[in-house]
Amino acid sequence: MSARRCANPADTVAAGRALAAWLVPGDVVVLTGPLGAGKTVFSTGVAAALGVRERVTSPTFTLVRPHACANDRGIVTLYHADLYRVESLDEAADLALGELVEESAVALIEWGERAEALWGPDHWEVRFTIEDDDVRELALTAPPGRAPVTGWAA
Amino acid sequence: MILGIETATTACAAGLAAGERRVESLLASDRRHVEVLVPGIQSLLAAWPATLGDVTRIVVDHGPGLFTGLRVGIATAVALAEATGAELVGVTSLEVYAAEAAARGVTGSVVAVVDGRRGELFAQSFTLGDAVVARDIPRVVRPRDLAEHWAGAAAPVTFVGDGAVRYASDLGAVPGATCLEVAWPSVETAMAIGAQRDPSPVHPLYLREADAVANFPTRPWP
Repeated sequence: MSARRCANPADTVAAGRALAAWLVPGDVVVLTGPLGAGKTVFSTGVAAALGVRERVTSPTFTLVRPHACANDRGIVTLYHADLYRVESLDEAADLALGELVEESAVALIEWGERAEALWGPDHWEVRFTIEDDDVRELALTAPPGRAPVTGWAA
Repeated sequence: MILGIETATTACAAGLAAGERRVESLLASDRRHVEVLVPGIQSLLAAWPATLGDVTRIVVDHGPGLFTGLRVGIATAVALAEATGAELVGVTSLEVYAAEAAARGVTGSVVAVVDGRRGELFAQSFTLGDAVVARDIPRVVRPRDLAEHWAGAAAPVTFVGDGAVRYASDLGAVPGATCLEVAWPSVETAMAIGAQRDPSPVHPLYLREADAVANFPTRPWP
């Protein structure tokens, strides 16, 4: 695990772009942290780097939103999910995100730690901590067995 | 007449059985459950020939397995049972694989393995002799952990199921192990098991639920 300090929302977007560089088809990224910590802002950075053209907003009420991607990495779809309003595990399981991402997609799951067992051990985690009004600390954990990421803390 | 429905893997299959006569049809092998299942059942009935009204029992594989497949198969089975008044019976993908191994003459220790996705297997151990006897309950396990466990056991073991196809390199490396390649749970076998069982409500067997439920209340909830 390594931590990255983001001084403002633009830094958080840049952190999303940095993570996107390591993602491969099939990856699930769990975004953990309190409301207002920057999970959706971070997601816009990941989406931009994967070639999503449409606007990325919080999927709180839709639960999951697929975005078409344009990149040369085999990632065709970005599933952006938010379990904040999910009231039971059945609802979370119903999204079948772990299966949707197989082969040609990745998923960003806000509040995904609530249903962690659904994603299996092989997932990314970004843990957001609010330091003060603008400053955030983003702690990144890569899937076990993946080559260690370098340059995240920079 | 029994109608069998199989959607626990990327394959979608259905079958019919009455008396000594049995048919089974692989409808698709590439996750098109929602598209092919109901038309496939209609085709099987037309070819028999029979109608839904002739179906007195529906046997459905309720997992563990591919979530996106199971919900199609179980929803279809429940809906047809409601509509026709047919009895509903659930079988597990793992017991069907074990019975399939027995039908192919395998004896001794058998581990049925379904690809659980996300780098994991759904697995259950059986002993095959005069009967198929479960040795533990279905669980989620990493292929390497399962292989290590059986590498430490003295007895030869047979792995059977789609999980043994996908993870043949891990499981086949266990000394004395055999991988029996069965790509999806046989509907004929499922119908044979289901014919002997009392009807009961059918719910999908997800396995990961137990772990995740434990996590749920420990987190702040809006």
